[in-house]
Amino acid sequence: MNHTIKDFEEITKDLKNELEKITDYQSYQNLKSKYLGKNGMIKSLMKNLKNLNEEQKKQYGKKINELKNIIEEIFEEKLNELKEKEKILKEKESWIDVTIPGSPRKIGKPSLISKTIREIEEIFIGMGFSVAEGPEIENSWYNFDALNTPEWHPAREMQDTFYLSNDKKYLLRTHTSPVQIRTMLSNKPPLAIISPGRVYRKDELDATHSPVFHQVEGLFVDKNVSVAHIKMYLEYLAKKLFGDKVAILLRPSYFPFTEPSFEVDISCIFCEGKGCNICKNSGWIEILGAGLVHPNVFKSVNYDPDIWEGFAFGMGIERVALLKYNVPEMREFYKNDIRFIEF
Amino acid sequence: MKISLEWLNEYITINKEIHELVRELKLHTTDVETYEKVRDKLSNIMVGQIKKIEDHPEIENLLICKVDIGKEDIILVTADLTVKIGDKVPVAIPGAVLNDGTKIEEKAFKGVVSQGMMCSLKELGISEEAEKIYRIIDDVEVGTDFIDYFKLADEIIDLEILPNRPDLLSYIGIAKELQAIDCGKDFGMFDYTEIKKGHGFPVEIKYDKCKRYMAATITNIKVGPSPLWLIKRLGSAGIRSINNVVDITNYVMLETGHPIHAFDLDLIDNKIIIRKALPGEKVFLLDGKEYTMMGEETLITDGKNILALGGIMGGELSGINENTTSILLEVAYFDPINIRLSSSYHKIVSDSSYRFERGVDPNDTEIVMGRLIKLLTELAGGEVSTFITDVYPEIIAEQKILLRKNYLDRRLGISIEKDVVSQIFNKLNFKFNPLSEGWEILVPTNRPDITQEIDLVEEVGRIYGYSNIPSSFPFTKGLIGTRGEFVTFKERVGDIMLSNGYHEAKTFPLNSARRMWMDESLDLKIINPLSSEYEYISSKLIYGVLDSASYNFRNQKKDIKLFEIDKVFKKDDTSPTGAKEFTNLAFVAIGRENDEDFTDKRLVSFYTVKGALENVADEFNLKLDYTRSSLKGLMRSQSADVHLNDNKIGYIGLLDPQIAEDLYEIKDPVYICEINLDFLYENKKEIKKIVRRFDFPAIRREYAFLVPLNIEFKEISQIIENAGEIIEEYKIFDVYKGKNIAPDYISITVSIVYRSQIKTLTDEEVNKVERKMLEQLGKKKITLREK
Repeated sequence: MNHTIKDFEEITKDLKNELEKITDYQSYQNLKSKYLGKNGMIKSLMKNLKNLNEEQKKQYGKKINELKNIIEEIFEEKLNELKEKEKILKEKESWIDVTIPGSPRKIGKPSLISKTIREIEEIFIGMGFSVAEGPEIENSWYNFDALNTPEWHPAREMQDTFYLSNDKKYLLRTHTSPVQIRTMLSNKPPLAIISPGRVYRKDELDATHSPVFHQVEGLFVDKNVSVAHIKMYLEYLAKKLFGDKVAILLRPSYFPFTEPSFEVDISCIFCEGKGCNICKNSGWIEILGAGLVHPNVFKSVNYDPDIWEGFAFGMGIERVALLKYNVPEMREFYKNDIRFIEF
Repeated sequence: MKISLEWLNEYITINKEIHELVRELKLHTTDVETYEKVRDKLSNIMVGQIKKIEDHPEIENLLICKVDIGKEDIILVTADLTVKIGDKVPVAIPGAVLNDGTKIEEKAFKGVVSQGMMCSLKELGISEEAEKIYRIIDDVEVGTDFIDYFKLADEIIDLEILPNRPDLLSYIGIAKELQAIDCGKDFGMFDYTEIKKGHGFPVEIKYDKCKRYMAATITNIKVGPSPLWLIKRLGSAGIRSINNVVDITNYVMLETGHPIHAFDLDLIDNKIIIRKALPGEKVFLLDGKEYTMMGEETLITDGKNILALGGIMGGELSGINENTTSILLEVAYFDPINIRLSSSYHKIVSDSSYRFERGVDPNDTEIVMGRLIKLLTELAGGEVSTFITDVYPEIIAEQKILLRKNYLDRRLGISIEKDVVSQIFNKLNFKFNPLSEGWEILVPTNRPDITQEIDLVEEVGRIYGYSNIPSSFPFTKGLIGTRGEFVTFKERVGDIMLSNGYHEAKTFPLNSARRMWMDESLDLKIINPLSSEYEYISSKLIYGVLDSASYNFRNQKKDIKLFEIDKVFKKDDTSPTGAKEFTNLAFVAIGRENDEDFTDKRLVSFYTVKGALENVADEFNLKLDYTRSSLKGLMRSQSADVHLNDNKIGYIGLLDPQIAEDLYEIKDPVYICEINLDFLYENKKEIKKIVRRFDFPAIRREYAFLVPLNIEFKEISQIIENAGEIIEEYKIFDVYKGKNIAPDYISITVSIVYRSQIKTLTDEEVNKVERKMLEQLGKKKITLREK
């Protein structure tokens, strides 16, 4: 055995020199096995131990192990150095401009009409209302007669109707109120529904009118229903739709199917009630119609008006969406301009 | 209804400034559509009198007038050749401003300086039609300030009068309302002549739809122009001045809300008979048209000739004209429903029918007749018949309605003190008897809208003020809100389409015949359409979606993916609505599959469109079948009928490029799809039961099949599916046609996953299934492609 501690120092020095020249993994592996491999230097040193006595074995064994640890450490260090260099190289190869826009999967956008309807549905479902639907081509009984609007009633002129038959029996519904009639005929009170849907009136398409538009109507039937309750529900709706600062105002109006009837305004969301062009300086914007259900309506669906009372309301979806999303005019909703939808 | 505040002040003292008045009306009565100041810019107009007239020395058809304007005489040049010495005229002196803002200055006409201008009513903003110089007929002093004297500066409010408030179609009604809502005080009825009822002009009612008929005659009347105050007030209501007699009937109608008719007495055969029309009977009315009666109308006749369609319009022959010297005045009351039916049947809307069908007061005829007589004798002279005929077979009395205090409180949601309620009825001028439980109200006959207790709740509520009612939630038990299964289903379908990159469209289900090219026959037609563009009701959703695609394409947006979920319609005489309604999904795809992704250059194809539809079916665990379609308007090469459980539910494919170009101006390939969602909904499976296990390792193999072109993949998939239990899944990996492939073949690479439920598979077990599969495929001349 002729190695000494001084030899060890020389060994590590040689190793470091050799490693210095190495730049690739293959050479690194080769060198590593020369020192640490099956037939490497450490192994051969170990083999030499068997010729020594116990005392020497112990002494040298310990030394060799130390040497092994040192060598392993040196190799570990080199490996890290190689990895670091490799990473830098890879980074260089894979370098891209991260500010170039992503390439997403195209996801469609819902119509603002559907979006608004869903939003209103959510608000009312949370208050115990269910969604009800019904036919758009209606029998005039459901659209008018059952709603306290017999044929001779001047109020039939308030809504210009599209008729499908000369006897005016079949028509395109002018409001979603027939759904209320159908729901009451097939359900027992108490009940709370909202009925969103398409409705039709003989209006030319312009900035604020359309022959086809959407409504949401609500109906609440129970015992002891008052104007105070209408105010509560509609106040909640207005705040949920347009923000907590919004207030509502009930003004007397007339619909054949409610008594008393109201136009309901919200405080102007653009000027917060101070007065601007949109609210015509009144501070208020008309947004829906409402009222206590007329006893004659209950009679036509065989509910006893001495027991059951209720309120109903209706509003135009497009009108809400125009205000909420600041859409310039009614026509936009039906052009389906993709740039408008995506904007 | 347009209301002049200057006029309204005749009956009541308005004690609110206009903005406040408008606000109070909106809060308590009805909406105010507009309010405006009129003629408030007019200045420096005097009453002048023409003293001398000369021709202009140089210009033909111009007159030079010397006009006295009180403190001096001035020279005025005019082109109105009808002016006469002594005429009193409105004169605009230099510095004057006309209604349209024109400033008047001295102006020279070839050497003659006009020191102002004589004005027409149009220039003064009183009547649009009157363009000639106005001659003042009132007894007014020369030099008087014309604007002040005739109270020309005015404020007009336009009230929205809804069908329940016919009482507000009159100045008296509005004055009373203002008193009720604390906007005016000292209400006073106009002056009228007390009438003497008795055997006057003979009147006989033979039809009970005429409930009351009052008649008076005036002889030796002088028909002529109306005084300016009358012209001006009618003008503010949009009514043109005709002559004093006609103007007064219109004026009193506006004052009282009660329509009036005046006949030329000399054209009547000395009696009035009111009868029911005969079916088919012809009536000529003063609009110059002939009407054929349905047989329900009320006719005013003299036994020989038909004088008027009662309550709606006068006859052609019996009207007042400038030669009339004697008149018969009619103040009647007709059944509102009868008027409404006749007026809507004949499509005549007159000021008269409008009021009668909403309901006028049957009990104000004495006052109305008295007012007419007062104004007519004052302004047109004549002698009134001694007795006024009044045929009123059945008196229409004030209705008594009980209003219970607890009902009132319950419906308004607030307890209002009894005294406050009584005071409200006092303000409304309703007579009442206080009872222990509430009030017995006598509803005045000018308020036909009030027929039951709830109507009285409204009266109290609106006068009390809805803003004074607090808001509160009701006590309700057991109402659970749900969106409902079908609504949720539709939303889920929509969400799948959105996630496939389709935007949601909303279109009209109304169409022109031309745009409904896919339909064999058109059966749902609107009988009163807006235009031929919106004449038919759609049986297909795709028409609207394609129109929207066309709009985008024409506007340079050429990558288009749009869908719509909504109703379509079919005529069905067995349905109580005359139609059946279906909910469909339709979509259209043009251009790039994903125009958001610059790395994805794919264009939409039959398969990408079909993929979206498969996503929808997958969501509900359904498998759709496809067979080649021969639908009109689709390219057979790339289109299929879509089936679910052997029912055809729609179509998918490439639109005929000819149609795309001719109807929609789209030059790129257009893929369309439309399916019925009702059937999909009925058959949907919400829960997919997992019957397979994935515990043992799978073996995956790929097969490049050479498939003859006449074989559809459907046949291959059947063979694969039936080859063995251990086939867990197969997917198409690649489809290739072209180089290295025989021309009549296509290469389809399929990867198959084999897995056993009970053990680890061996190659041999897979080979066995594979051999069977290849053997079956071989029978269809499908082979494996040589590598």
